[in-house]
This record gives sequence, structure tokens and C-alpha cells, in this order.
Amino acid sequence: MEPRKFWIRTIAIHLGLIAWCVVAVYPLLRIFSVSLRPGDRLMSTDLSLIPADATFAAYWNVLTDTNFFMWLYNSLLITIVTSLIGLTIASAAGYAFSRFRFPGSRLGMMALLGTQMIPAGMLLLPLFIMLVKLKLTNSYLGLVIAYSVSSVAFSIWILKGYYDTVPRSLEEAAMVDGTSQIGAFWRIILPLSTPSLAIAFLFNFTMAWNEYIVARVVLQRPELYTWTLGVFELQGQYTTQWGMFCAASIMVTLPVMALFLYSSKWLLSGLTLGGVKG
Amino acid sequence: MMQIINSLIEVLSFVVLVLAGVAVIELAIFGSFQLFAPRSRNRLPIMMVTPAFVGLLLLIGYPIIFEAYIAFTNLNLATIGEWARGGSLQFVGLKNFIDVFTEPPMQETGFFGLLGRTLLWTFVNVFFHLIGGLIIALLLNNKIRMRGFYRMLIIIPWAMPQVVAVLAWRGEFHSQFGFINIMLGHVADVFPFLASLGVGPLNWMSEHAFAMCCIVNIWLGIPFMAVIILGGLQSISPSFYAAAKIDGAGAWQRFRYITIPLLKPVVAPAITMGTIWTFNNITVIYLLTGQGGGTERADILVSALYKAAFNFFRYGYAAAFAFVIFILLMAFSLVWMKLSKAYEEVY
Amino acid sequence: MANVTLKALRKDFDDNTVLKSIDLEVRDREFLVLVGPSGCGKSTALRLISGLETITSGEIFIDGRLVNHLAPKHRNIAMVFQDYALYPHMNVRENMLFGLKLRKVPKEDWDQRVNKAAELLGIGELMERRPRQLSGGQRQRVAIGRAIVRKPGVFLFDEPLSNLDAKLREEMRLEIGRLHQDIRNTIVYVTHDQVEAMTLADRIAVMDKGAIQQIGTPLDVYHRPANLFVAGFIGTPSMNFLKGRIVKQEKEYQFQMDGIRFRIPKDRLDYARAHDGMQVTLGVRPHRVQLASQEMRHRVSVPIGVRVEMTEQMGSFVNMIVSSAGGRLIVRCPADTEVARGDKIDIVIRVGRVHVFDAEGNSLRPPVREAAPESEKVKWKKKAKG
Repeated sequence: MEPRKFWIRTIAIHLGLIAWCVVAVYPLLRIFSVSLRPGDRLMSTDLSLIPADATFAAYWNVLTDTNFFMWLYNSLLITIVTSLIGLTIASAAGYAFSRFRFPGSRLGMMALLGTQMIPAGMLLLPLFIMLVKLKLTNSYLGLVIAYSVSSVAFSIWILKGYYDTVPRSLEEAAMVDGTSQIGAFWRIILPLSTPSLAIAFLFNFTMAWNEYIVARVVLQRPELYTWTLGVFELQGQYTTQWGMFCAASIMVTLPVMALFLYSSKWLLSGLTLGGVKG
Repeated sequence: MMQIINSLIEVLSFVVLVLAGVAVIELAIFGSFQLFAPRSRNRLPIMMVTPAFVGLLLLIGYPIIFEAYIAFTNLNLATIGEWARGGSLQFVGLKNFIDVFTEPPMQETGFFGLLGRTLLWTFVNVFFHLIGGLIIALLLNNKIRMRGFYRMLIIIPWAMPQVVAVLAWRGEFHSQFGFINIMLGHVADVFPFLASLGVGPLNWMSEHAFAMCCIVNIWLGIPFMAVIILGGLQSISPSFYAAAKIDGAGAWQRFRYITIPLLKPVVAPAITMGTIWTFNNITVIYLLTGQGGGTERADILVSALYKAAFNFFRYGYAAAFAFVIFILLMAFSLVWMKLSKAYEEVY
Repeated sequence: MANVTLKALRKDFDDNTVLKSIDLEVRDREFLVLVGPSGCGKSTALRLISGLETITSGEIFIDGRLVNHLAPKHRNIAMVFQDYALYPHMNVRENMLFGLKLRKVPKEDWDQRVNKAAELLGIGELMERRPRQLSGGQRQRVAIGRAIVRKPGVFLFDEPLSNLDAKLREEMRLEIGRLHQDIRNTIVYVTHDQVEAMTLADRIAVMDKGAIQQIGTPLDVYHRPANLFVAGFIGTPSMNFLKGRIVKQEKEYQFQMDGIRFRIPKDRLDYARAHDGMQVTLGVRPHRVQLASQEMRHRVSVPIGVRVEMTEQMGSFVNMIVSSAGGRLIVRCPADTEVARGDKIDIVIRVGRVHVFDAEGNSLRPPVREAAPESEKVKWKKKAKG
């Protein structure tokens, strides 16, 4: 390619990417900007990124006037328990699907795919009514149970995809070396799978961590709120809370996003491995 | 403090319960294999799979059967309290199913209006996800400086918690203080010619709610597609392009005859999943329009279902509605699978 | 040390019979090679011995013990895999120790065993490395080392050299041969490469289509192929085959094909089983076919007119591909033979070295006791040397 054409091309590529990056990042920057505004200037047509009279008052208000830490605790507890249960059960099931053909294995995989097709709203209704009947609304369990469903199905897919890439001869070598199939799974395959287990954990974690719709139905008592519910509450329509909403959002979003972006390379490879290439 | 201790007890006892359940299941399977088929090679896989499927059966199979039961009853806000205390429900036959087609789930739009909007919603979103994702992936698939940096920024809409992202957008669509209307106002001021064509601040929250939801959801979904397509692009061996160049193929021809066909195996499942996700997406529409006084103009089938159940408390009706949606989705998927298979054979 | 016995071993995958009925006796301290084309069932046979697959019917004995339903870990075997199967998350030492730990071998013995194996294979410096930091040849050595430290009764090798490049393969082949001479262990070795089979084996079992076609020493298999398959599979370039029939002329049999006719010596054709007009396939190795113009002591055959289609210069000799009325033949000539494509030349077959197969493909060679010139000769040579 001639040099001039090459330069034009390169610049065009950069411009295209920058354009999308601006669109992608802008809402986040705006939240940040609003979170720094003083309480009396929340309603403003000002578009500058850092307001002239920037203040951290909104952050302080979130930490002192709301149940912010309780929300985080609730989210964390529910999320971790869900992910761990899902992962434990899925790591075994995914292995069976990857390594064995047994009666029902094809049907099982199809059923797993089928679960992705069921509208959340469809499951939510009977689950909610069952939780009402079991008196489990307004409890962590209701949410843990509801989240575990998607967590297990999804994790099985991801982990099966990973196990499929591990050569069978490794387990066979271990079995010849003196262990059973389950021993080979435990001693060889699981230790080897730590990266993909981490990926599956992260996926489950972010899914449950960011969930709103189910939590809204199951949890009504404010002290049980997860952070998504709490933050949503803050966002009453253009009241003074708007600044606090933004501040709280920033505080929750930045660590989660940092984690996501940091792990994105593995996350993405895990996704293409299990979710897409099947 | 008490709450924390209580919560830990609650959750831990649940974990113990699950473990105990799993142990019982495993022992039962092990025992029955020992009894009936001691040499079977299926014992281990069945033991490994069963906990997951018992869980799924309990959490999906049973609720769906239960939902089928509700669909034939008059369960609603008025009757649920009585029922939860042990009362019985009135059986109403097919009434709920007939109502699905004759009565709007909320106040305005009826079933077929929602169905049409759902199809439009799904198509528009998946289409723009695909186009946007493809463009970004193609741009990123060049050897350029700061590629890692771009790559990171580009997935931010995906990395951001949806609640935050959608609510932030909601702010941007505010008729007076939102960025979008401010910009549209400026544009209309500077170019009176455009203003005469109708460009100017719009009433997003009410009149243009559907467009607003589409814009937000497209923004949310593009990074995922871009990443999937980028993965597909990077898995295409450069030697194909070299061979095509030697054969005299131009840039467009290389794209058309190499990139597109070789992307298909990666992109096709992503489109399938994306279609299902979009079809079933409640979060975006609910967060943008679901609060008190929110419009119905953006609602699709699943969000209408959600609102019918949890804003209007029409449980029996919602259950019937859910089944109709599910059957529709199944039918679409079956047709799609048939089509995509037929399509594969052509290639 | 142990022997392995397979009796009427059969394996089906669903409706697909992979092994029909295998009978095989691997003697104690013997190096037995299972060789055959891909899909012949040789790897399956090995995996049945190891217990990684379950048998459909038949019996497997290791060291006189019936192991049909024993798990691999109880069979007292070690296996070297085609892709080495080194545990990626363990270093070389841990890889080698893994089996010892599982078998509760006392800790005091660990170092001594590992060091001995490492010394034997020259991998002492690699002990702390991870498998991905090793080259293909090194990985192979580690995989063998992992098998050796276990001191199993039987070693199973599943195409261990097929992932290596040509030069390394040759090197490792010698290494494995030397190793067997050092440790004198029972080895069952699967390969599709007949050179490996010929060079390494005490005995070769040639397999095809799920059945053993012939078992014998390398020279046996080479010089006395039991059937067309073995004849064609063993030896490079492959044996030439000509289709024709035999006719009885007075007291002797002659091979006839397109006007060509020559006598087949008695030690090459079992006259008891032959009859006039019988359809046969005549096999002759490329180096037993020569140009009629070449000077030759063994000229006992009529010249056959052929046309040269292609020549392959190999340096020490030339392979000539020629077409005759009976089909395509490969002729091995001295490197300085001057022929060009399209030349019409005459070739002769050394009839004393032909193989005759009946219509089913079975060898028509007389039973061994009558005459076995080649093996006799070799034995004599060995003796002379000693």
C-alpha cells in the first residue's frame, strides 16, 4: 500500500474507534460529573465534565445517610453463595458432559440450552408465588435460589467448553499412574481448570451482582436491598437524590468495572470457548 | 450486626441443606448402581450430572408445572393472601388464555400490538448489534497503536452494571436537562433548516420511549457482539487472505467471500443467543419506563408480562401470558434452527 | 516383569466392530510391536490392555492374572501416550513422582528412582521445568521417565514418536531400543510406522481391519509375509504385485500374465496347494526387479517390456516407476542408472524371490521346514560374526 493511503486508513480507523469510545464512555463520565455537583445545581444544562464548584458532598451523603454498606454486604453475600453453589455443581456436571456419553447426555445438553430460552419473567412468576407460599420472600434464600438457576446452566456450558480442550490422555495417564476416573478429575483436571473456574465464577458473580429485576420482586424490605435496588431507590426522579445516585453508582461501578476489564481477556476467551463455540 | 449474623446463619444453613441433599442423591444413585448395574460405566457421569439436574428440575421444571396450574386459576392480588394461608383457588378454565388475546395486559396495548413491537424490537436491536459489532471488530482487527486501550474502552457499556448504565441514560434522555435534548436544541439553533424538519428536543420519556429503549439497548449490546466477532476475525488464518489476494480478490471480495463465511460459525450462535436475550429482555425497558407513571409505549411482550404480574398483580393472567410467549419463542426458535440448518447446507 | 495374554478379544463401539477376535501372547521381557494402518484397531487393542476401554468379550491376562474388569491402576502397567500427556501444572519431577505418590511408594525410594530414570534418559537438568518449557523430544523422554519410575510389569507405548519430526524420531527410536536392552522389560508398542516396527521389535504383530494378520520376528514378517496385506504393508517401497494365473507345465508350475511366462521355484510355491489355472497375485520387492541390461547372476526369468513413467533419485539408488502390461511396478536400480521418462526398457524379475498369493490373498509359500533360506543365512552370518 502506498504510504499516503496507509496514513489515511490508519487515521480513519483511529477516528472510528475514538468515536465509539466517546459514545461508550460518555454516560459514565456524565455520572461522574453529576456526582461532583453541589446539591443545589443538580438540575443544570451545564455539560462541562468537572463542574467549577466540584464537591464530594454527595459521596459523603451516600456513606452516611443511606444503607450503602448494607446493600453491598447483601449483594456480596448473595452473589458469592450463588456463584459457589453454581460452580461446584456445574464443575462436576460439565465434566460428565465433556467426557462421557451416557443415556440422556445429549438430551441434557439440549435441556441446558433450552433453559436459556425460557423468559426470566416466565420463571419469575411461579418462583415468586412459590416463595410467597414458602414465606421466603424478603429473604436472601429466595434470591440465591432464583439466581442459582441461570448460574448452574451457564456454568455447565462454560466449563464443558473448557474441559473439551483438555486432552483426555491426561486423565488416562493419571488413571494408569494409579488413580480412578474421579481421582483424575480431582487431582488433574480440576487443578488445571482453575483459570476457567475463575472465569465461570466471575461470570456468575457479575451476573448476580448486577441483577435488578428478580431482586426487585423478591426483596421488599429495605434492609435486605441489594445495591442495585438501593441505587435505584436513590434515583427518584430528579430530586436532590440524583447526585447521591451518581455518587453511589460510581462507587459500585468502578471496582466492578475494574475487575471486569482486568479479567476481560480471560472472560472473553472463556466465553468464546464455552458459550459460543459450544 | 444482628442482621449480619442472621444472614450468615440463613445462608450457611441453606448451603448445608444443599450439601446434604447432594449427599443423599449421590448415595441413592451409588446404591442403586451397586444393586442393579455394578459394572456400568454410566455410574460416574450420572452421579456427576444429577445434582445439577435435580436443581434445575426443582427450580425450572416444577415452577413451570406450577405456573401451568396458576394459568387456569384466578390467582391475583385479591386472592393470593387467602391462598398463601392455605385457602383454595378458583378454577377458571381457559378464561386467562382467552383474555391474553382479548384484554391488554396493562391498560393500552393488546397482545398483537405487543407482539409486533417485540418483533420490531428484536430485529432492530440484533441488527444494529451485529452491524455495530462488526464495524468495531473490523476497526479493532488492525495493527494500530493503542489497540489494547481501545479494546478496553470499547467494552465499557458491557462492563458497566446495567442498572447504572441504563439509569445514566435515563438521565441523558431527560427532556430538559438530558444531554441529548440539550445537543438537539443546539443543533436546531445553529441549523434552522434542520429545525424546520423537526430536529429539536424531543419528549423521549413519553412519545419516543420505544426509540429511547432501542438506542440504550443497542448501546449496551454492541460490545458483546464486537468482542465475539473480533474473536472470530482473529481465528481466521491470514493465509486465506494471502491466497485470495494472489487470486486477485479486492478488499470487498475478500470480505464477502472469506471474512463473512468464516465468521459464520462464530457469529451464528451469537446471533441466536442474542435474539433470545433481546426477545426476553426486561431490564432495559423496565428501568427506563417501569416506574410509576411510566409509559406503555415501549413495552414488549416480556416487559408487559412482568408489569402485568408485578405491577398489576394479575398472576393467573400473567401465567397464561407467559405460556403463550414461551410457545411463541419455541416456535420461532424451531423455525430458526430449521432455517439455519438449511442455510448451512447451502454453504 | 510380566507377560500379557489376549484371548478372543473383541471390541465393539456401538454397532462398529473395531477388534474382531484377537489372540496374542506377549512374552515376558519381550518387545512386541503392534503395527498397522490407522483404523486397524492397534490402539484400541493397547487401550484394552491398559483398561482405558472396556472389552466387549474375550479375556486379558497380565502376568497370569485375569484383568478384564480391573481398573487401569490395578493392572501394574505404565503407558506412554502419543501426545505425552504430561501434567501441565506439575514440573518434571512432580510428573514423575505423581504415580509413586498415588501408589504410596515410600518416600525414601522416590529420589533414587527418579534420579535413576533421569540419568537413564539424560533429563537430569530438566527436573524443575514445566512441560510447556520442554521441546518435543524432551517431553517424550519425561513421559518415558514417568513410566520407568513406576517399575511396572508392562510398558505400553501408544505411537510415542509420531508427534516428533523425522530426525528426532530416529534419535528417540534408537533411545527406546537401547532402553529396552537396558531394562529388559515387557513392552507393547503401537505404531503405524513399519520402520519403527522392524527396528525395535522382538516380534511384530501386523494388524489390519481389527484382526492380527501375522505375528513373527521382523525378518519373518518381511521375508515370509502371510498374506497380501502384510506383504504390501511391510517394506519400503512397497512390494510390487502382478495379477495372473499359474499353469502347470509338466512337473512344474509357471506364472502366466499377458504372454509372459516363467517358472516359480518349489520353495516359493507350495505345489500341494497349487493347481492348474489358479488365479494368483505375484509379489516381488522392488530390489528384486532389475533392468535386463544390468549384469546379473540370477538371470532365470524372461524379460518384461515396460515404459518408464517416473524416476525418483534417492542418492544411493533410483526408484523407477514403470508401467507394464500387468500394472505399475517400482524398480530399484543403482543410482547411476541412466533412464529417462518415456524410455522403453526391459526388466527382469528374480523368480527365486517372488511371493505368490492365492485369490483370497493368502501366501502360497510352502511351510517353513522345507526351506527358509533368508533366515538361515542371517543366523549363519550372526554365528560367523560371533
